[in-house]
This record gives sequence, structure tokens and C-alpha cells, in this order.
Amino acid sequence: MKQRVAECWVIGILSIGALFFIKQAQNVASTTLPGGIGPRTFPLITFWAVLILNACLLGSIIWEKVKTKKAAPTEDESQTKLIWRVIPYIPRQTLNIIIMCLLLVFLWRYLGFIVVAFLFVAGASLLLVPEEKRSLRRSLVLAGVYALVIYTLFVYVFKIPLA
Amino acid sequence: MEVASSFSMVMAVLTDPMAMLWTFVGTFMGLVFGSLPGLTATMGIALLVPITYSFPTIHALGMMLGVYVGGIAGGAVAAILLNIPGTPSAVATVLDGHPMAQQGRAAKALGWAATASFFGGFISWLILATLAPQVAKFALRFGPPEYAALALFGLMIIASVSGKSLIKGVISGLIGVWLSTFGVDPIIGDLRFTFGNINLMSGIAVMPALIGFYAIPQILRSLSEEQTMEMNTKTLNLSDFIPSLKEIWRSKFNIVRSSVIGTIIGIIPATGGNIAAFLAYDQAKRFSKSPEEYGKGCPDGVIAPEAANNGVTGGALVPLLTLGIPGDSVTAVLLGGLMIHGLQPGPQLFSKSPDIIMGIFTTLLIANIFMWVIQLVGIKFFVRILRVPTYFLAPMLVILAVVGSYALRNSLFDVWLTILLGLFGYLMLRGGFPMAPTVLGLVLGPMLESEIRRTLILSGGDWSVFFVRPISAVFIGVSLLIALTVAVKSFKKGKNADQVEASI
Amino acid sequence: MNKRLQKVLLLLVLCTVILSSTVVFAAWQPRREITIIIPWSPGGATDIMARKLQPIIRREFGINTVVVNKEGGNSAVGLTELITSRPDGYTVGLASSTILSLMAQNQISWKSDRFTNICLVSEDPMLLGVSKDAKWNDLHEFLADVKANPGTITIGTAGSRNVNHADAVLAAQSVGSTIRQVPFNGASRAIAGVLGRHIDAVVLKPSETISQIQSGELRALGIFRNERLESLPQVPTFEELGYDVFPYGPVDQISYLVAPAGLNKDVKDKLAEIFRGALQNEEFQNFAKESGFVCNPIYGDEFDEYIGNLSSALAEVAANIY
Repeated sequence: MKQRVAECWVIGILSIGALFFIKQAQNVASTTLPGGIGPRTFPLITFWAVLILNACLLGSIIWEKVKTKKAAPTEDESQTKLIWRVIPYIPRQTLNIIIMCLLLVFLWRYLGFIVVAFLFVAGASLLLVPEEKRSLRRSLVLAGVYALVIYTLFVYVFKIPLA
Repeated sequence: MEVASSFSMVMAVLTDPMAMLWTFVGTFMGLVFGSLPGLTATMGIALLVPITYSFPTIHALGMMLGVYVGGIAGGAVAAILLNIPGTPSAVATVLDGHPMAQQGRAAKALGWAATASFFGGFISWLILATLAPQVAKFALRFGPPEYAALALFGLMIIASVSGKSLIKGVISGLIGVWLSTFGVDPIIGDLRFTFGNINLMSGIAVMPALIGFYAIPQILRSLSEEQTMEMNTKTLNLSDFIPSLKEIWRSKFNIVRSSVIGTIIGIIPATGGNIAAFLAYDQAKRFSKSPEEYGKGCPDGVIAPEAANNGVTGGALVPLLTLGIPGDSVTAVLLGGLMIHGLQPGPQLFSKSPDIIMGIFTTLLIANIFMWVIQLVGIKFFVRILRVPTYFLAPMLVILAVVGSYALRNSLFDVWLTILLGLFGYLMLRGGFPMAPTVLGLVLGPMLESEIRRTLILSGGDWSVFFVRPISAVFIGVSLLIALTVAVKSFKKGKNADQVEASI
Repeated sequence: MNKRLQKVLLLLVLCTVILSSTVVFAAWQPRREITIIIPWSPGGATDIMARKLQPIIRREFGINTVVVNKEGGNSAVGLTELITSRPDGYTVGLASSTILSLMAQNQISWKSDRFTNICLVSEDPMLLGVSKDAKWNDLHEFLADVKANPGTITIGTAGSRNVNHADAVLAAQSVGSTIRQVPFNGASRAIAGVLGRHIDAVVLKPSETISQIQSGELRALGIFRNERLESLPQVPTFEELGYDVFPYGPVDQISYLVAPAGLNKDVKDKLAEIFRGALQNEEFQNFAKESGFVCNPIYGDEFDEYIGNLSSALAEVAANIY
């Protein structure tokens, strides 16, 4: 069922996005060139195609569901909490890392690359490692070395300034 | 040019230890740049332009060509081991390379990738060295209608890389096209969907999307309990990762066909390794006796894209050296590098400085050999990355992905964009939407749009040009045929729904 | 006695004031490296120009420079960053006609008063080129054909709504006619288009076409400039053949050195001195000649006036042509 939930989310986001962009396309110049294709035409074809295909996909999902329901009511569905049927079920670890990723980029400008990279790698590895293998020192050392190596490599070897 | 004098020029390069050394260094650097997502061969060469400024010309050229060759080949390493293509050219390599790694055949896949890359590079080198002036004329036959038809033909590949559900594949492809509509309109120069943000004016580049759609979802998935990177536990048989002569002979048609496709695509300006790799993959699957194995870890699915994307290297040098027209962004930078050494690529280069031409040919071949050797030796070390436990590997890859997306344009905006696309990509991955069509849409969508509109400006609004000109007519005809067969197939599939899973 | 002391003191004070002020005004000297923001991708024409300057500046003035590429938004991203950096002389950038063109079309939210103009770096006058097999032998024949067949001759340009586009249209307007402007994504596609006879002509920079012109694949019919080019002396100008392509004033493709607004006069002068010195260096001048651009680093009030004229010409062009 998890795949179904994610599917529906993708369909939902895309459909809302397509509608929004179809509206936005009105702000694009309406100049038409020879052959009748202007700057709006191609994006509009794309957005409408997304909408139509989304509808088809949704239709096939519902159709399949109706069919399987008739055949035999699935058991696992009733056991899953309602909430996980509506929002995509994201494992806690993954959710933590997503939040840490956002923090990482957000704090980059204020703390500098070495510090955020160190904190991220150290924090994330401590969070992810199974309890029996957890070692604070190992995580800290690894994070420190890694942050320094990446920094040196990019800034001094590749000459790419990491603000 | 006499054979004897050109032979002596070749020997002059071969016996120059510094030329060899710098070519080696360049190739190694290229492999590093290629395997790290976010760093590209273009950036590598641009970085070298000021460094090699004071070098003798041949040393500088050897180093830059090494980066080019290595940079294209290196993309396969991350693609196979981590499911994250290091360069856009390696997207098609993921399709079969990563399944091979998951089956514990990572070393074999890498061996094939290196070998196929070498053959691709070698065959395109052969064409460059023997036929350059003749085939250059072919590049000029490609006008806007031909480009448009090629883009359409390329988009048909979505059907063969969609996996289980064609409709999801097409939606994924449209997402790519959608992302390509941001920014300055390619024809009239008006702004589209920039929402007043200057960072969106030049549109969404392929690299942030690539990192967003491949790296981030892949890392996030590796964290969840049910989807640990199972290849960690698999033992790798290192003894037989170099393809035997027998195996190479068995795939000879695939190797040659893919290399030639790569070279031809390379010769056509403004195309590139990504398109070449997908075309070769698609053709390999079409010609294969067992197409159902593609996408499930078939070595031929690694050979085709890797031979093709390195085939592009020799091909792209054809218009550069004979006409002075750079075929892609890498050769554009290469052109700059040549100019800073006081060389003006073009037909005159052949007559004015044959020593430089011979130097380019020789170092290019040497770079291809180095690339092969370094990769084969390196496989033992590359696969060690699989032994790094996920709880360390995942945070490190996140940092690399973030830094890589920043490094493209030194911009935090791109980092946010990458993360945003990455989160959406995670949903797509969980929902079973394939990623390869998105990249195809992002690359080919804008090409299709701008070339159609350009053609119509040229023809004054007359659509018939597409069908009158032979090259475009053939491409469009074949595309329609493919579309028709795919439609018929999926219609049949819909009729007997029980067989849905069985037939691809 | 007291008065005398006062006088001496006054004199002393005056001396110190004068001395210290001269110290302040004349002696601004970069104490650390200067960052040059290049709003284009690494390896592009502008980037290579800056990287060519780096060793010359180090050698001649003992000053280190760092090139930072901030591409995006047709140079708007990098230059927006430049105008928000500190006007202390340690951050400069290479602006071009492109950004002036964006300002003229209001595609960006700020104007060129956010810049301190330091000096001109390069001038890339456009030229009109046709394939070697084309039926037109010179500019007169070409423009006569344009006049006789309005709206049918196709001219390729690199991009739209820029100097290329403007010059192509202005050439047709000089004989009271129109053309079909075909924008390509970059100069190399346009060159391939004209060599393959998919389009009739191109309007591109000499630096983009010099190798094809020298090899004879491409014939340059005319140049959009008031004087002939030193690197292509055989190519006539539109003006000398009697065509007025600049009714709104010269529309030049230039790149120039800028710093954020609010730069001190002495810092500005020093930067102009350093960069002009490097630009006028023989090595760079030879590079300019080989690559086909003009490097005549005017500066100061003369340059400000030049930019003013160019901006207003581009504004006219934006209103009348695009």
C-alpha cells in the first residue's frame, strides 16, 4: 500500500502543479511565430498532457482497486492505521535525515561549510548506527576527517570556494 | 601529410615522459571528476586552462584530453556502485549497471564499463584519425528539422526505459520536459515561469536535477529498514572482473554498433553523451535476442551506453578540429584551452600545425588506454565503497551531493533546488516512477521545442519540411512506427490484464 | 612669541593634514587578493579573458587575483551578487552589453547606477557572414537581395533580444526591409547552420567566427562598427559602404570591468590603473588580435559617457526592435 500512497501523492502534486502552471502560462508572452507555435504552446501541451495522463493513471488505480475489492477484501489494508494510508509513510530515520538535510543547507551560510559538514556527518551517523555499534569517538573522528578532506579537495585542489 | 613524418611526430609524443605523465594525471583527474556527481569533465578542463597555461602545448592538450576521456568514463563508477550517475552521460548505465551490482556482480559491471568505454573511445578515435574531414560534412547536414526529428526519435526511448508501467514512464518524461520550460524562452527570449527570481532565468540545469532525482532519493531509500543496500553483504568475486576475449567477441556487434552510434552523435554539434548512451541502449535492446533481460542486470545494457558515451569523445573532436565548431560544452572549453595556447582549431590546423594534430591524436589514444588500465586496476578499490556501512556512507553521500550541486554554479539556490527535487524524487521512487525518462525529457524536451520552432521560422510556418527532408523524414517515420507498436502492445496488455507483469 | 608659536603650530597641522591626505589618496594599494566575479561559465570567452589577465597582473603589479564563476540568468546572477558585495576594491566583475540589455528590457530589477564603471575590457563588434558558396559577393548584393525580398532572407544569431538580434534587424532596416531572424542556442550551432546552408547568413562576433573566416569557409560581408577591425582588415564596415545601421547610436557588444557602486575615487583610479596596465600589455593585446576582439581600455568620465550612450541606444533598440 505504501507505493499506492506515494503514487497518489505524486499524482496530486503534479495535478495541482499543472493547474497552477496552466494559469501561470497566461503571464507568458502570447506572441505567435510562423506555424502557430509561441512561447506558451509547448509548456501548455506539456501541462495538459500531465493532467490527462494523471487522470488515466488515477483511473487505472481506482479500477484495479475496485476489482481487487470485489475479489477479496485485503486484510493488510484494514490493519494499517488510517493516517498511513493518507500521508506517505516515511520511516523515522529517513524523516530525521530529511530534516537534517534541510538544516544543513539552511545553516551552511551562517556556520561555514566545515562546521555544518562535521555536525551533519557526526549527527547523522550517530543517529543511524545501530545501538550496539555506536561509538561517539569513531563518528566524531570520521566526521572531522571527512569534512576537512572534502573542504581541502574542493577549495584548494578544485578551486571551488565553499562559502 | 607523409606517413614517415607523422610517424616521427607520434614517436616524439610517445617518447616524451612528461607528455605521458600529464596525460596520465589528466585521465586520473577526469575519472575522479566523472565519478563524483556534480563535478563534470567541463569543470575539470576549465580548471586546467589556467594551470596548464605555462605548459608546452602537447602536455596541456594531453592533460585536457585525459580529463575529457576520464570524465566521461568515470560516471559509470558511481552509477554502478551507488545507483547515482556521476555525469549525465552515465544515466543509461544505471539501468543495468546497478542491478548487476545488487546481484553481487559490481566488479564485473565495472570491468565491462571500463572495457566498453575503451572500445568506444578507440573506435571513435579510429574514425577521427582516418575520416575526420569526410565525416565532418555529415555534421553540417543536420539543420533544425533534423535536430527536431532526432529529439522526437530520442523521446521514443522513454518506452524502452520505462520499466513496468508505460504511463508512469511517460509522466516521468513529462516532468523532465516541464522542468525544462523554466527560464528564458529559447526563441524569442521572453521569460517563462521565473516568478521574478533571477536564478531561474537560465532555467533548471541537468546536473541539479540529476543529483536531485538520483542521489537524494537513492540515499533516502537506503536508510529505510526494508531497503538496505543488500549488496553490502554480497561477496565480490574479484578474480574474473575483466571480460574475457570470448565475452568481448560475443558482444562484438553491440560494442561496434554502440561505439558508432556514439561517434555519430558526437559529430553532430550540440547533442552529447547522454543522448548517445540512451540511443545505444535502446538499439542494443531492440537488436537483442533477449530484450526482457534489459533493466535486470544485463551486461549488454552496460556495454551499450558506456561504449556510446565514450564514442562521443572522438566524434565531438571531429567538428572541433575540422571546422572549429565545438560539439558540446566540454569541447567548447577545449577550444578555449587551445586558443589560450595560440592555436585556432579549424581546417588550417591540419596544414599549419600537423604536429599538434598528431599530438592530439596520439594523446587521445594514450588517454583511452590509461583510462582502461586505471579503471581495471582501480576496480578493487572502487568496490570497497560497498563495504562502508550505510550509516556512514549515507551522510557522506549527502554532503557530496550538496557540495556537488553547489559547485556547479557556486550557488546555494541550486542546492535548495536539488533538495526540493530530491524530496519529490523520493516520492516518485516510492511510487514506482522511473527516473531515466525524466532525464531524457529534460535533455530532449527543450531540443524538440526549440528546433521545431526554429524550423518553422525558417520555413515560414510550413510543416511539410519535416517530411520532405530525408534524414528528418526517416527519423519521424521510425518514431511513429515505434509509437504505434508500443501503443498496440500496451493495448493488448490492457486486454488481458493478467499478463501485465509477465510481458515487461 | 605666542603668535609665532601659533603660526608654527598651524603650519605643522597643515603639513600633517596635507601629507596624510596625500597618503590616503595616492597610496591605496591592494593588500590582499582581488576577486574577479565572472558571471559566465568556466571556459567561456569572458572567463578565458580573465584567466589570461591573471598572470599578467601578478607579474606586472605583484597582485594576486581570484576568478570566481557565478553563472546563471544571462550574467544577472553573478552581477547581482557583485552589486551587493562591499565596495572596498577587492571585489570586481566583468559586466557586458548583455546585462545592459536586460536592464533596458526591465528583466532585472536594478539599473547600472549600482555599478562603478572602471574600464572597458573588450569590444566585440558583430559581423555579417555568409557561407563561401553563397550567391552574394559583397554587402551591396546581399542587402539588395534583402530589399528585393523582404522577410525571406534568414539570418542566424546566437540567442534573442541581444546585440546580435538587434544588429541583424538593423542591417535590414538600413535598406527599409525585414529579415527572418533565427535564434540559435549559442554561436557554434549558428555557424554550423550557415556552413550547412540551412540559413543564409549569420550575425556573430568576430571572436566566434575568426577561425572559419580565416579558413575561407565563411565570408564576412560587413562589420557593424565605425572603423574596420585590425584583426580583419579586409572586411568593410556598413558605414563606409553607405548603410546606416546605427540610427539609435552604436549598439556594441562590449565587456567591461565593474565594481559595486560607492567605490572611493582613489580605489577606482588604482583599479583602473592596474587593469588598464594589464590590458595594454603586449601579451594581452596579441591575444586580443588573435581572438578577434578589440581591446582599447578607455576609463574615467569618457567611459561613463560611453556606457551612458550604449545604455540609451539599447533602450531604444529594446523599445523599437524586440
